[in-house]
Amino acid sequence: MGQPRAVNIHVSMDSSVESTLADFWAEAIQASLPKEAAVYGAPDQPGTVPDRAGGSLSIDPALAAKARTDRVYRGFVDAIASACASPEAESLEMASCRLFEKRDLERHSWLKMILHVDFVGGDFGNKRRRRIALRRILDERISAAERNSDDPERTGEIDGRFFITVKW
Amino acid sequence: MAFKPEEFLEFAVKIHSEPDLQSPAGVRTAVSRCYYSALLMAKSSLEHLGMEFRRNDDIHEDVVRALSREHGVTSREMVDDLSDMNELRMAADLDVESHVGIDCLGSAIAMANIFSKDLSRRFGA
Repeated sequence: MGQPRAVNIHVSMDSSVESTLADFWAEAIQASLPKEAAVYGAPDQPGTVPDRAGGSLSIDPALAAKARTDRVYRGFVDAIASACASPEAESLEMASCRLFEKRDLERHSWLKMILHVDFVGGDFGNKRRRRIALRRILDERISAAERNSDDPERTGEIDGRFFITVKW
Repeated sequence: MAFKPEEFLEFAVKIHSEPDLQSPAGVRTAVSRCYYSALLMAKSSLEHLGMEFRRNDDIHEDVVRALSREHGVTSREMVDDLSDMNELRMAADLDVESHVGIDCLGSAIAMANIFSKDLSRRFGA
């Protein structure tokens, strides 16, 4: 899997220059990724991945930034992006899905990764069945990525903190 | 006699079935109680297996971790349901801007019922 080029930019700039650099950054990352992988976007913009189902996976900027620099996160996020763009997921009719990390509001310490999905139509039972189906697709992709990786740092730690929530 | 967490769910069902009780505060309280009913039922089931839990805010994470650790991927649906109920609970308890209506309460009750049945199936009554 291609890795983004390491670019460290820390400079004051006006908005037009900032925009140009943001475009460059997004293009550079996209060019380094295989087809169907996540597009992490500019540092201040959410990443997206084309979705045949008509929706799109939005990746929170903070998580995208972490994925740019942490190959373990990148592998995990890519597996999720790949699953969301897969033909199997197409039949689930996701209007949108957003991947983000969050801390527990009461403890300010518990990091977890959440894929929040908005399904098109359906009652409670129907949406829950689609969430279960999506979980199976994601688990398969994550397991496959795990099997195909020789990275000893890729552990189940992220997977153990990964939840799918639904917009009811 | 120890309090039965199922009573939280019964309370939520009562709110859901009686329009006179469905004030914003009533609905939000009921949504929150659905989560705590599920959380405490899971905690009780796991304690029967010999696990011990801290009596602080870590309980949310500890129960989820215990469910995940004990039953692996087979309990993913339960963990996702509990996580969904917790998300609704946090919106109901902490986010005054979010929409927490009777539809949310219906979903929370349905998830709590499914969760309760899954617990019984996996851990026994």
